[in-house]
Amino acid sequence: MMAALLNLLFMPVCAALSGLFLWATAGQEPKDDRELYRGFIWPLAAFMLLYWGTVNTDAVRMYTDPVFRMQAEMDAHPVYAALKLTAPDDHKALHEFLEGQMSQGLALPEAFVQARPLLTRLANERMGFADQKTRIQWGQVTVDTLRELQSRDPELCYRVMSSQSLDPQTLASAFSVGNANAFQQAVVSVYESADKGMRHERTPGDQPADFNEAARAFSAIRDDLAQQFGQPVSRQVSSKKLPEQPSEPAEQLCAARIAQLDAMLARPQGMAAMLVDSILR
Amino acid sequence: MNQNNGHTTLEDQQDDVGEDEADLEERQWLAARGQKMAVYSILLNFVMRSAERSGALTGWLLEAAYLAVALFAVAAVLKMCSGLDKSQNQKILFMVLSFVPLVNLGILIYLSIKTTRMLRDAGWTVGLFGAKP
Repeated sequence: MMAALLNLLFMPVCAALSGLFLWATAGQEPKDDRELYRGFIWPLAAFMLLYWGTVNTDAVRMYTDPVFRMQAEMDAHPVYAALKLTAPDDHKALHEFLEGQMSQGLALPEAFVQARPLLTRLANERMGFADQKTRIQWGQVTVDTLRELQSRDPELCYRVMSSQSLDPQTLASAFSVGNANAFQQAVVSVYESADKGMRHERTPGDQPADFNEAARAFSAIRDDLAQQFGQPVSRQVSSKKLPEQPSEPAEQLCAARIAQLDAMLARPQGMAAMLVDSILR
Repeated sequence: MNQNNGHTTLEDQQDDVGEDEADLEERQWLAARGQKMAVYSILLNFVMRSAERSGALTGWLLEAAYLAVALFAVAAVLKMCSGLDKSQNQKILFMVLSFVPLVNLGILIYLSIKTTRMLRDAGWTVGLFGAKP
């Protein structure tokens, strides 16, 4: 709208300025047609260049060009920037999603809240390439999120842990500001670390972890959960895919998943990273 | 101007009339040329609009073509203004208005009508694509 108006005003404004300039410089001194024409055209060219240069500066385009403003806002967001830098396919998916949300009138932070399920899915897929500390950070954010939801709405907690789609209103009010910030930081860490991992630039802090030992730890945690919440709950939260309609109470399942993740995160770094990866990815 | 004892002679008066007639004739030719250019610039405007709608011209090429037509129209306006003996400030105003969409067409038509009237009064034949004495 604003850009179209500026385009429409381009020639009239430049011509008016040029006319004013000619009128001011010519004064009452009569000039022949050729001089008047030249005296009008040169300032016109100068004002056109000036106008064009001004309306195309980033500062002006932020006010006049909604697409440019939207792109600038997205580029300044750490999650968007991280995906753009490290994962072109995921960046494309996120860009299309955000564009769709913002075209419906949502501001960028609101659009990012709506993008959370998409980002969770994408980050879970990437986690296998991330270093141990990042996997633990991701696991910690996940367990903190579930704990926050469990205290408010166990049903919602179950829907989030079973990766069910949430309606926009629910998503908009589901997470606290602190949790949303921690989530975004974790997403950035996962992408940056996974990028290094894919390029075999392993961080030196990673500790060796034995796969068989991890399998035994997984079983031990499952047995503990069975004692605490019962066999059916333990079996369900130990499987990767959770049903849409749980056969056990959502509150129990959510509490069991929180306990499971807490137990995993309490293990030594290498083991904890492997266990969290096995259950979340 | 030649003067004799403060009085203008018949010869001087005849010279003045001759100069005025030459000046008037020059202005009529200017106005006629300007009017012809105005007609072409109106036609070019319509051609440009068609080219824009059909997509034959786009982007910078279209902008450049519009600018060229506008500059041609300004030259036409200047010639007609001089022919119609407009003041310098009026000429500047008409030049500026030549760059305002829709108003530019109005200006060309207004000046063209004024020119037609002046030329017809002077005994010229004015047709669709210009005038001849």
